[in-house]
Amino acid sequence: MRVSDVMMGKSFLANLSQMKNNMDKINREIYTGSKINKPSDSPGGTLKVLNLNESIAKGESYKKNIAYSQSFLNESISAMEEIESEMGNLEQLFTEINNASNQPYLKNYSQKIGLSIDSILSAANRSYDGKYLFGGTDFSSHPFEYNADKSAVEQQVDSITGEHNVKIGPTTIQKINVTGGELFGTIGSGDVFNSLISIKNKLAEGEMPTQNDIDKVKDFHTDLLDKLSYAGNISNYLDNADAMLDNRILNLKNLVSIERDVDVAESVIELQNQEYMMQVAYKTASSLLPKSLVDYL
Amino acid sequence: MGISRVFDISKRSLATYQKAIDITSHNIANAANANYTRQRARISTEVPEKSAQFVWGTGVKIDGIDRVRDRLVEAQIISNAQSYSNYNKQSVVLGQIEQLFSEPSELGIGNLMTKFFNSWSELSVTPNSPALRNNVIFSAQNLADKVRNVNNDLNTIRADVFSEFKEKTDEVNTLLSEINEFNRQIFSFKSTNQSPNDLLDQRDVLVNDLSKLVNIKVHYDQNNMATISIGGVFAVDQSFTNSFDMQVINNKLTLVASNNPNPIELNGGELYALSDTYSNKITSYQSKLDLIMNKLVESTNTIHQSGYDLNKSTGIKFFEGYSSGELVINGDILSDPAMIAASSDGNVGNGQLARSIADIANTNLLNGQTLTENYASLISNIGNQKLTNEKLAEANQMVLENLEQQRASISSVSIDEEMTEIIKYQRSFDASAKLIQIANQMLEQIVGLI
Repeated sequence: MRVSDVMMGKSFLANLSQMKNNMDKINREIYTGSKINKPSDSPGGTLKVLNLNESIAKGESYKKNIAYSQSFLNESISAMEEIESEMGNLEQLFTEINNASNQPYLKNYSQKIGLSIDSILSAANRSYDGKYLFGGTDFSSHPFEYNADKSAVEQQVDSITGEHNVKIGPTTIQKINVTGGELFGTIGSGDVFNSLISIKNKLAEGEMPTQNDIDKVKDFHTDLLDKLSYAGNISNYLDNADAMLDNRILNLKNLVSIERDVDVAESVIELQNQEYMMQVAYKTASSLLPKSLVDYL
Repeated sequence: MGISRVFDISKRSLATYQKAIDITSHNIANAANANYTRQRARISTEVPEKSAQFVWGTGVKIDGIDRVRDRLVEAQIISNAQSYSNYNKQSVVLGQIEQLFSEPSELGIGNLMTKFFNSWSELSVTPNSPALRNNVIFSAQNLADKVRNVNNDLNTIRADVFSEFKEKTDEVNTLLSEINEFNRQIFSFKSTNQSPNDLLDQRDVLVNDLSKLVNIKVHYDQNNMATISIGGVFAVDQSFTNSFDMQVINNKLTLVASNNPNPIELNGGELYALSDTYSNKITSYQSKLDLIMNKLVESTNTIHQSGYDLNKSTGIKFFEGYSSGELVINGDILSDPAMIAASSDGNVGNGQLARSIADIANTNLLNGQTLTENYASLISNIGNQKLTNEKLAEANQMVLENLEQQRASISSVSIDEEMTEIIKYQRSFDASAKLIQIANQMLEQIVGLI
C-alpha cells in the first residue's frame, strides 16, 4: 500500500483522538465514582438504577412511617400502662372495702375512686402530635369528659372507633391505634368510667358497691391487659418490619452500587495503560512523522 | 540526420522535464493539503519522423497532467459521509436531550415523582399535620417545576433544531451555487484543452461538504461536469442551480425545491438528522411524558375529589390540570393546605385517601406498568437511541476514516515519492543539457575543420 504524508498524520491523529476519548471517559468515571452519568452510558443500567432508586425511596418512606408509628404506639402503651397501674390500685381498694374493719371509711374510699377516675380519664384523653390516642380518627375534641354535674362520663365526639392505618410496605397496611371503642367499649352503658362512678356514688352514700359494677371494672382490667399485649405485639411487628426494610434497602443499595459504581482500582489501571499507550504514540510519531527523503539528500 | 536534430530533441527534453519538475513542486507544495489530489505528468514519446527509409525518434513530450484518484472510493466517501453526519448529528442532539432530564439523579422527574407519592404516604400517617400537608405541596411543586423545565428545554432544543435546519438549508443553497460556478469554470478550461485539476479538487471539497448536509447523488459526464440531485430531485449541473427551502408539511420538517412543491425524501446527512429529531423524536418524548403526567393528574384528581379536606369539603381537585407541559396545582390548595383531601370519611385523623393516592405509585396505570416504570422506560429509550446513534456514528466514522485513508493512499502526496521523482527528472534534465553541450562541441569540431 502506498503511504502518503497526509495518511500518516491523519492516522496518528485519529488514534490519538480515540485514546484521549477513552481517557476522558475513564477520568469522568473516576471523579464522579459512577459508571452511569447519563442514560446513554448504559440504558439498561439506567432503567435498573431508576427502578431501584424508586424502591429505595419508597422503603425509606415506609421506614419514616414505621418510626412515627412506633412513637405513637409507645405513647399508647404508656397511657394504657398508666390506666393499668390505676386498675391495680382499684382492685386492691375493692379488697380493702370488703374488710369489715374498713366499713366506717367508705366515704374516704369514694374519694380515692373519684381520683382514680380522674387519672384514668386523663390517660384516656392523652394525645400525641395532635391526635387523641383513644379517640379513633376524630380529633375535633378530646374523646371523654364528665357531664355538667359530674354524674357520668360522656363521649365528646361522634365516633371513637376510627382505625389509624399506616402503610409500611407496598401492600402492607398496619393498624397502629387501640380505638376508644376497643378499649372502653360503648360509653354510657356499663363502661369502666360509669361503673366506677356508680361504685363511687354507692360508697359516698356509705353503701357497698354492687358486685356487677365491680365485675365490670375487673373485666375492663382483663381487656386492658389484652390490649397492652396486642399493642406490644404490633410494636414488635413494626420492629421486625423496620429491620426487614433496613435489610431490603441495603440489598437494593448494593444492587445500585453493582450497576453504577466504578471499580476505582480497575479504572486507574486502565487509565495508566491508556497514558502509557499515548506516550508511546507521541514518541513514535515525534521520531517518524518529521522524517522524509529530504533529510538525507 | 543533422546535428541540429540533437539540439531539437534536447531542447524538447529540457522543456518536458522542467514542466515535470514544476508539477512535482506543485505536489510538494500541497503535501499537507488534505483536499489536494496529487498530479502526475503523463510523459510519452514524441511522434517520430520518417525520412530516407528510416524512422527517427524525436524525443519526449508531456501528453497531459493527470489527477491520481479512484472514483469508486470517492463515491463511497460521499455515501458514508451522509450516514456518518446523520448519526453524528442525531447523537449530538440526543446527548443534549438526555442531559436535560438529569437522570439518573435525585433531581430527575423519576425521583421527584416518587417523592410526591411518598409525601402522600407520610401524610396518611398524620393527616392533620400542617407540616406534612405543606410537604405534599412542596413535593408537587418540585415535580411541576422539573416537568415544566424539561418541557421548556425540549421546546428550546426543538426551536434550535428548527433554526439549525434553516441555516443548513441556506448552506445547501450556497454550496449548490458554488458548485454551479465551479462547473462553469471547469467547462471553460476543458473547452480550451487545459487541465482544471485544482478547480476539480475545490469542487470535490464542495461536493463532500454537501454530502455531509443532505443525501445526494452525483453523476459526472465525460467533461467531468458534476450533476447532483438531492433526494431524487435535480439540484445542480453546469448550467442550472435549483434552490431549496424548508417547510413543515404534516408536522414533518423537510426540504422543498423551488420548482417542485413535493417534499424531498430526506434519508441522510445532517438535515435528515435534524428533521428526524424535530419531527419524530422530540415530539415522541414529549407525548410520552404528557401521557405519564396526564395519567398522574387524572388518577390523583379522581381519588382526591372523592375525599374530604380538613373542613370536610369534598369534590376538590388537587391539580388544575396538565397542558402545554405545565403541571398546575390547584391554587386554592396552594393558599390553604387544609384543602388537601386526605380523609375518606371526613374525619381529620382518617388518612385512607392519602394512602390511596400514595398507592398510585404501585398501580399499573399505563402500558401495564406503573407511572415511574413508564418514565424509566422513556429515559432508557432516550439513552438507547443516543447510544445507538453514537455507536453507528463511530462505526461510520471508522469506515469513513478507512475510505479517506484509501483516498489519501491513492491521491495525496508522498514527499519521498516526489523527491525521488525530482531526482529522476533532474537527472534527465541534466542529461539533456549535457547533450546540448556535446552537440555544441560536435558542431565546433565541424566548424573548426573549415
